[in-house]
Amino acid sequence: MRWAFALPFGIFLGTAILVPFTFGLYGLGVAFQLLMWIALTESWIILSGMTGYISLGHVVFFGLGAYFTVLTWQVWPLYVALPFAGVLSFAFAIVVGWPVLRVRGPYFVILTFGLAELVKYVVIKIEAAFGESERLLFGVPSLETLYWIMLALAIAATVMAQAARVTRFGQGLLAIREEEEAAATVGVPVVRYKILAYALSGLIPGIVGGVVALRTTYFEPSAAFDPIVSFSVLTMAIIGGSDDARGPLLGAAFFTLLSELLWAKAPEIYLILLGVALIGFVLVLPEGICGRLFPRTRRAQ
Amino acid sequence: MPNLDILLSGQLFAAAVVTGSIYAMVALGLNLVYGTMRLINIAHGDLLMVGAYVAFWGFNLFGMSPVIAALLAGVLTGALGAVLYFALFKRMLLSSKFERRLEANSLLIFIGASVILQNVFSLAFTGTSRGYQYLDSVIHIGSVSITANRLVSFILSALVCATTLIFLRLSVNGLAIQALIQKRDAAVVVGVDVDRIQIGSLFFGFAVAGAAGALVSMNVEITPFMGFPFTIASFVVVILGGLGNIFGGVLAGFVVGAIETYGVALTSSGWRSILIYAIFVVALVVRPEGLLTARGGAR
Amino acid sequence: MTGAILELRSVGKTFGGLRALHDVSLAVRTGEVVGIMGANGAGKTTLFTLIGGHAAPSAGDIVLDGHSIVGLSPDQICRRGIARTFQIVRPFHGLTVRDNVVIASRFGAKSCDAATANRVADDLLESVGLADRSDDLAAALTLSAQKRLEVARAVATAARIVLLDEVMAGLTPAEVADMLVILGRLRERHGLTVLMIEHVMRALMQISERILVLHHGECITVGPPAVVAADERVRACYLGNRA
Repeated sequence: MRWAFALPFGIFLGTAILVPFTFGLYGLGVAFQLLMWIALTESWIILSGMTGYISLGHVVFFGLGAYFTVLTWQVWPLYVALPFAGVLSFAFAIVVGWPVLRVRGPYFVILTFGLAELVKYVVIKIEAAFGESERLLFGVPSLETLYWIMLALAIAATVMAQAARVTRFGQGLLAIREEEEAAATVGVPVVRYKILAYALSGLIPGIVGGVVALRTTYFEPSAAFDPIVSFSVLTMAIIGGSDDARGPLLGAAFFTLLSELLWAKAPEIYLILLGVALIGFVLVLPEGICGRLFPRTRRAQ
Repeated sequence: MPNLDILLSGQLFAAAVVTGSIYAMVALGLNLVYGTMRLINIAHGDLLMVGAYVAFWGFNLFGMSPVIAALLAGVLTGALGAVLYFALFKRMLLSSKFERRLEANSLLIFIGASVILQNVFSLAFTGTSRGYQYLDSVIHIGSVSITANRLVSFILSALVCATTLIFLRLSVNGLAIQALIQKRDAAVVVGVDVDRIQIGSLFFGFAVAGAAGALVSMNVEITPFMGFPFTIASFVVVILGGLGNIFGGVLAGFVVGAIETYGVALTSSGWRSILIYAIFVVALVVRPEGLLTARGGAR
Repeated sequence: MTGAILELRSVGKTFGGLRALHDVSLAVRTGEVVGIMGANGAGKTTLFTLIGGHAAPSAGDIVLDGHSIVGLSPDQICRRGIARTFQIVRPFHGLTVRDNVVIASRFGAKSCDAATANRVADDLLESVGLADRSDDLAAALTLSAQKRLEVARAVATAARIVLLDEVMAGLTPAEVADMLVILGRLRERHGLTVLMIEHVMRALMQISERILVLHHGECITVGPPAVVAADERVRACYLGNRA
């Protein structure tokens, strides 16, 4: 791995490790948010960056993981519940993957959106049947503990994204992105790989959802399955670059910074800026910042 | 489970028809834009929201009748479409770099536009829901009671749908539009003025959404985020009716209106969203293959 | 039939109301080169679509090494040893020329590791004359180069049978001659069996051992080029066409 490539990761990792020791609680919270977006966006590019199947429903994994964690709160120990939340999301993707991934292009985009919304309303219904509208969690781990867990998740997601790229699996995904029919013709097991990529992309977000639920000590379906999360992840990936494991770092950093400046006072302006950024980059720089800075004309390794 | 009387009542039927006519009208715009330019406007419902606010402020500030406001809203949103065309899509449709990924890229642009629209209006008018009373006297037709504003909505949307269908069938421009929808390259070759048709379709498609918003505003809560359900519903309609099939879309509009009305009556309003999104997901997964892709039956 | 590596047995295909193929039978021997000709719409590409597993035949059977391959997915069929090129080239546009071939080698009938795949790729690119363009993006190549890339990619899958779909279309006479040489060379080195759809008659007559003639989805005749060229029925279909 070349120096130029590893450096951004090194910087992020070093900074992330130092944060709990240098910044106060507020800073820790901001860093926690940043790591969350990194984890979500890195896992997003495993499917959407590498196969070109752009998902606007990424939040479904997040929400499912959060719901599961909340349901098993104080019933199962966290070190069992959290990984299981990831497994649940993975399994969900496998189950819905076959029909969902038959759909291509922009239809896939709106389908994933619809699927996430469907799951949201089903969970709302279930909660109503339970007689719950929102749930509060008591006795959650400290922010610092959750921070380290989130850091581990962000690292895991980044490693997954990078590993996906350098393996044979990743090459297959790229072939699917470029020419799906031709990929099958040269032996890439297209259906299997797409579903696997989809499931892998949901694994970490499931756990992230659980961790975030613990952090906010609060679960409410409309918040846990908020489509703005899906939209943000998509926008961050496009701006940072969805073809490179460094892209989400850039995208997430930029937008966490922006949201820190704007969210408290004018959340609408923050979202308007996200929308403008998305349109701008799609028109002018669809390969993202990383795509422009580090073009790929070399071997896929 | 409501008793059979209610299910078979003219009341419920009237509700289904009114809802259906609005869906048909909204889907009409979506279908036209998609059929002629392959643009998937996921901000379609937000155009409706814009129209609703135009009607609301028109009524509150100027005492404007929502029927007039529908016209004004239509012009406004239509103009928005024209601006979008000249600023963005004309160039995109011509450039070969974009053509390959036109559908995907335009969708992303519309996603951004949707978020922008919702938040601009949220910023300007806050998220509090608005509403107003207009023509809410009840009219009785036989055993059916219906508020005057709903009746007016129905009449106007039915009128718009009918006029559009007749126009497509009978006028030269209408035929040109159909040609463009069905076989783009052939239409270009026989001399259809693609540019004029496209901008006309975009203007009309957006205008119809805005006008529908004005009509709907008489009956629903007006918020910056009211557009979503209409976007999803109109997508369901368009998929069921066949993408680009205008007549099918109008028919499907009434079908979806019926499904929603009767579905909610059979269960409860909490199921409405689940029903609509479930149909949406299933329709997309099952959708007629080969309608627009060049696969022709191959898997 | 002994010696037949691939058999089409009364294959038929109907798309809705359109009968694209009807009762087409063919036994291909190992190492043979079979040309396929016919007017546009005669059903030639449909045949490749069926063999390649992109669609299932409405009637009949397709047998490879004595086993039916109907119902298998395209990637499964590739792993059994059948590769194809496309009438309209489909290279992996955003990837390098080398990667196009490497991927085929890593996933094909004999999936190998990265190092072997790279060697195979370099070797094949040399054979088709693209060695100097290895690091260029596939999208940047000329049509002739892309066609050669498609051939290299198909062969890289370690396929035993290669389906070439109008691989000469759009090439200049000089490029056609080049391609014939390349195909001959590859066929010898890798022991390929070739099915070849072509409109460029000269090339087809030159390279084929047998030619299958399709007309409106039906097989008019099968035989050596000279016999087919002299066949009255073929002449009638190709009025004015000089073989």
